[in-house]
Amino acid sequence: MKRILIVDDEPHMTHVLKLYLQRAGYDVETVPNGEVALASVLKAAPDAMVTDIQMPVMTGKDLCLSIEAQYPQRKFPIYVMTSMTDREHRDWTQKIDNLKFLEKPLSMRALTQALAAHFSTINADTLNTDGGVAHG
Amino acid sequence: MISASLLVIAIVSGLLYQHQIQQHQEKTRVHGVALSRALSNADYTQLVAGKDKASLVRNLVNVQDNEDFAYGVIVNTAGDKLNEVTSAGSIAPPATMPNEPYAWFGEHQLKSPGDGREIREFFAPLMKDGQLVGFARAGYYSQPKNLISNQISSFALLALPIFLLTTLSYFLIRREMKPLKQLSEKMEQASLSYGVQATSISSNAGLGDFIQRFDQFIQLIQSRVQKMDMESVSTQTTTHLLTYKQEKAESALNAIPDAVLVIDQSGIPTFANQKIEPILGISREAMIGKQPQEWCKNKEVLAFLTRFKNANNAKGAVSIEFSPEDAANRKVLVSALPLFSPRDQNTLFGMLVVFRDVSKEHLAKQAGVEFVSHVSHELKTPLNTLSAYSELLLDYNTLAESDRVNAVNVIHSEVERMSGLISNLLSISKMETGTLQLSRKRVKLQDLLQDAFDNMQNSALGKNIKLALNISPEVGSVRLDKEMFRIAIDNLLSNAIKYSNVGGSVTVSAHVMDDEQIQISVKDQGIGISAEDTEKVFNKYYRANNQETAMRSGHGLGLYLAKQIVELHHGSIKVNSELGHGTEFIITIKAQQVQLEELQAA
Repeated sequence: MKRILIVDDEPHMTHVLKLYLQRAGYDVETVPNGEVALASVLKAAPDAMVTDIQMPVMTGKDLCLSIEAQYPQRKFPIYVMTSMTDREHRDWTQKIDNLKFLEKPLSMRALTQALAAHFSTINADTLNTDGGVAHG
Repeated sequence: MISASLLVIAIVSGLLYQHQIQQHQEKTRVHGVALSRALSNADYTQLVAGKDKASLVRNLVNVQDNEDFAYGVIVNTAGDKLNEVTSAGSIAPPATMPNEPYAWFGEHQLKSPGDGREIREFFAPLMKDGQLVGFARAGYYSQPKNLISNQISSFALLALPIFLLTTLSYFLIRREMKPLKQLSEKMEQASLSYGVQATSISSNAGLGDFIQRFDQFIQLIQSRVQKMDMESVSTQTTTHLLTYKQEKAESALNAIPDAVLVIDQSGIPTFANQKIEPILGISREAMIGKQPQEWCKNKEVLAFLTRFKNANNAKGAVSIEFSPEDAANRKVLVSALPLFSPRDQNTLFGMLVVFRDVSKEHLAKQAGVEFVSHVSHELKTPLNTLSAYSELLLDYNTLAESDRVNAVNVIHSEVERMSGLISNLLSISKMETGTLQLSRKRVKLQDLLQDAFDNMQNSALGKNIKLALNISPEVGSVRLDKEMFRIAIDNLLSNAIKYSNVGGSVTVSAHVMDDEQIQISVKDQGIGISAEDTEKVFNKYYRANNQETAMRSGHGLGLYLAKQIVELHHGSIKVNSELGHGTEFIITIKAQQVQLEELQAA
């Protein structure tokens, strides 16, 4: 089961995300800010991370930059929920690979579709790689 | 003039000649009479006797030294010459002598028999023994023999200085008169230029004319001076008036909140109002009369100002924005308006340059942009939750009942949150456009505060914040706009919870003061506000610039709105806070006034 890390200070949001994604068949971990999220990532990398930007203690931006700095081998995708898709966010996110925006108000269906699409390509790649190894 | 001098010489010469003639005639007469009498008195015998050189006649004649002497003759009554003495070449002509005794002494004119010259002859009787025996005749030439030739040199000597003097004085006078004449002509021209007729005087004016003209001129000058005096007074009045008007215009220009600079065609400032220095940071003295290159350090502005030297570039108003050297946080808008001549729209007097400090507008614009950004974020956050929960409910029919109820509750509270924000925005909009009407009603403050308090319980519990309500029993009813006042209280309460740390406490209290004013306090133990920020927290869009605040959502409207509402109720709001130690907002409203209004209403 793929593990999804949800980072948001809004309890309502973390609650609904957890409920929805669990129902979609994911293992969901929720944390209230970037600091806890970073610790979780460093302890055990999730298969995908969904984060808000505006949060106490450590913001989503600082979280992403910290992961880039402290966990450069990252493969999992980061989904950033934002209502402020203006230039200042475009600037710092351009430096980070495998990062996507989720426009607020968030569509749960869009999120689950994006996750599903991502994991299906990963699975295909893995199968191809496995097959290659098997044949080799 | 020369002819006049010659005439004078001629007259002088003539007079001199006549005088000479007269003198000569008088001399001739004296001599003639004397000689004739002398001969008449002499002894007749002796006169007749000797004819030699020693004769009496010759002696008597020789007494006289007269070059015009012609002859001295003794004749008998018959006219025969008895004795005679003549000058060289002279012959005594025969003459008829008078018979009557009364005519014996006398004179007459004769002609010389030789050359026909006029001879003036004096005669006297010669007596012997009482009997007339003959006559003594003395002849003199009437015309002086050498008079002209003798006198001509002296005439010349006399005439020359006269002539020279006359000529000299003529030229001197001419020389002296020349400037006078020129002056005279100038005066005439001046008179004409003043519109005064001076034609009665001929152009070849003499001294008399000159004097007349001079007199006229003096009169003219006097009238001119009088006129000029009057004009001077009127000019002074006009000058005073103009100065007054100019001062008025300048004070008006100085009163304008913008900096005004007038630049002439050559690009040099000729006027700057008092706002120049505060806005540009350059003193007026440093600008006026100096090329912009000397005082303008900003290249953009310099290019802007110097561009207008060319009239073709000056059509219409153009403006640019810049930040002054010393204050990068300020924004100044420079506008240039061409100053055209009112008569000729193609002639450029110069430029009117207006510098306006648009820092506030910029801040407001920026704040407006930030506000929209904040508001949309604030709206999108509950919208995000609403979207997520509604999708959850739609997509999963099999949700547990508790999850379903929770979802609906969340949706409900988020709708409340959004509507609160929207009503805040609407209230501000109404207040700012002046369309807000307070509908005051009798409200039990206890109930109002309790209601607001209860409404916040959920969000307080979410952060594990302890809420306390402490209302003293004497706080009764007040006349308030319930909806508006509730917005103020809600904003204070939600702020207290928002800026409290997890596990903190918020206390709402109300009591009556000694002066019958009611004080409502909302106190927390949260992050607090710095002294610098406490002055600004009631400003519209203001949010404290620190990490703690940035982490919390907000739009800088709540406290602004609360203050506006409280002031509409004739109350006041203040804040006591210390960074890191919590904040207390205190609303004071007049209970007394409310009661009075109630009485009036009753």
